Amino acid sequence: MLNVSTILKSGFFTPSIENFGFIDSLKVMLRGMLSIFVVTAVLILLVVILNKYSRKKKEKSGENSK
Amino acid sequence: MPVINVAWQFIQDNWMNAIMWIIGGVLIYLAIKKDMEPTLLLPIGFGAILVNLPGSTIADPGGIIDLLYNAGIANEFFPLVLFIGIGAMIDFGPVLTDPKLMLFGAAAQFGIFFTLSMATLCGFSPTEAASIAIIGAADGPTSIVVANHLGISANNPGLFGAIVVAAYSYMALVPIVQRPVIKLITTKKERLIRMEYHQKDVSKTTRILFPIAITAVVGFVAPGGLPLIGFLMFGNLIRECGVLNSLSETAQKVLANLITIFLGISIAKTMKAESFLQAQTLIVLGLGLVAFIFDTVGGVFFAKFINLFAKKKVNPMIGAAGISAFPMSARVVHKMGQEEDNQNFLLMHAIGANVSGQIASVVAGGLILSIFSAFLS
Repeated sequence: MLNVSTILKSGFFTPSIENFGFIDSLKVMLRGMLSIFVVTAVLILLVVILNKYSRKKKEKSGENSK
Repeated sequence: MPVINVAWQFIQDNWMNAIMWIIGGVLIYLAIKKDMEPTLLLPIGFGAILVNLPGSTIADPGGIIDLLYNAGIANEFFPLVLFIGIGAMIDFGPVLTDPKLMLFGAAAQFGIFFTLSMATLCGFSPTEAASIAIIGAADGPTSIVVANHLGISANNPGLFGAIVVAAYSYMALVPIVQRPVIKLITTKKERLIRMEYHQKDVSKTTRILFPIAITAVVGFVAPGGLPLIGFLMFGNLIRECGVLNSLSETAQKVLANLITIFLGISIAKTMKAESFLQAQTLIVLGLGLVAFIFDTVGGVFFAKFINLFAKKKVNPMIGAAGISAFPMSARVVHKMGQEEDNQNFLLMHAIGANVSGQIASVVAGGLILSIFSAFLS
């Protein structure tokens, strides 16, 4: 089974500072796109939770007013 | 004859300046006649003429443009404060109604990283390549902040000027750049996919918590981007809180316009002929185009990928709207959808993707800063 934390800790995604080249730029691409998608997934989850919470609150206040 | 000698000497001393006058004139023409990003291209164009007039010291140390540049560009004050105004203008409603659209904003940042690789292959240093790549963020303030922070404005002002001109020019050229790319990589059947829009109310609580949540999440992941995302979301919070309407209006109109005037004219400091007219400027313009093309490609192909699994198909053109050039990209996609099927209304989906591209581009900018700041020492 792929151990993601091992890959991250091994510096696979860390570009070389001394000899930054094409391969390093590809590492940055991989790291950058993964990070953007992870952040986006977290934000989507947050919005879904917020929307669900608001809907429940609205339903409750609707029931209370009856 | 002495007059001919004087004239010949004048031409020899000023032919490069003359090219910059032409470039300035072209930018002014595009701004006025073609209505291409006039708020920035006109002051940049006029500034390019100002700083390249014979004997001009306006951009030299102590000159007014130098003072404005140091006051607002060198310390990133202008672009960051402008972001408050931009944040106050953005309505995240379409994204909050359908948060999945944020994925297209993320995918459409592919062009940034693809261009980074291409710029590296062209022989640019890591910080130069990163500064060129951020043109793909399709966002002027982000490009300025990242390039300045990575030392490009101080070490290579000509490159900085080229990056800013490329960023704003291509933002204005989005309708021309994206159309053929979208047509090339989509089929007619795909462009005909209909997407229904269901209006849903978004609560005030969600609208208020959203900018705060984004700031916190992005701040943890890419602290280098905190000034960018923080100021953008601060502007949005002013808009959405409902108790600061006068501040919101000021931010959207007076503040944004004031800062835009100063920002546009002070960029001229980097447009002196001897630093701007180099081979690298042409390469930057080429790479900027690559960035925008591959942003479009990234968004569209992601949408196609989603369609492999999705029950309700997504029109792949929505992916192209994930580029941060708001609202032009959304309008292009909507118009192209209408041309294929005038009953297909893609606008709200496209706007949702377009607005989320603004968030994703700032995240990308923050990541670039976080990764490449290590190269500064």
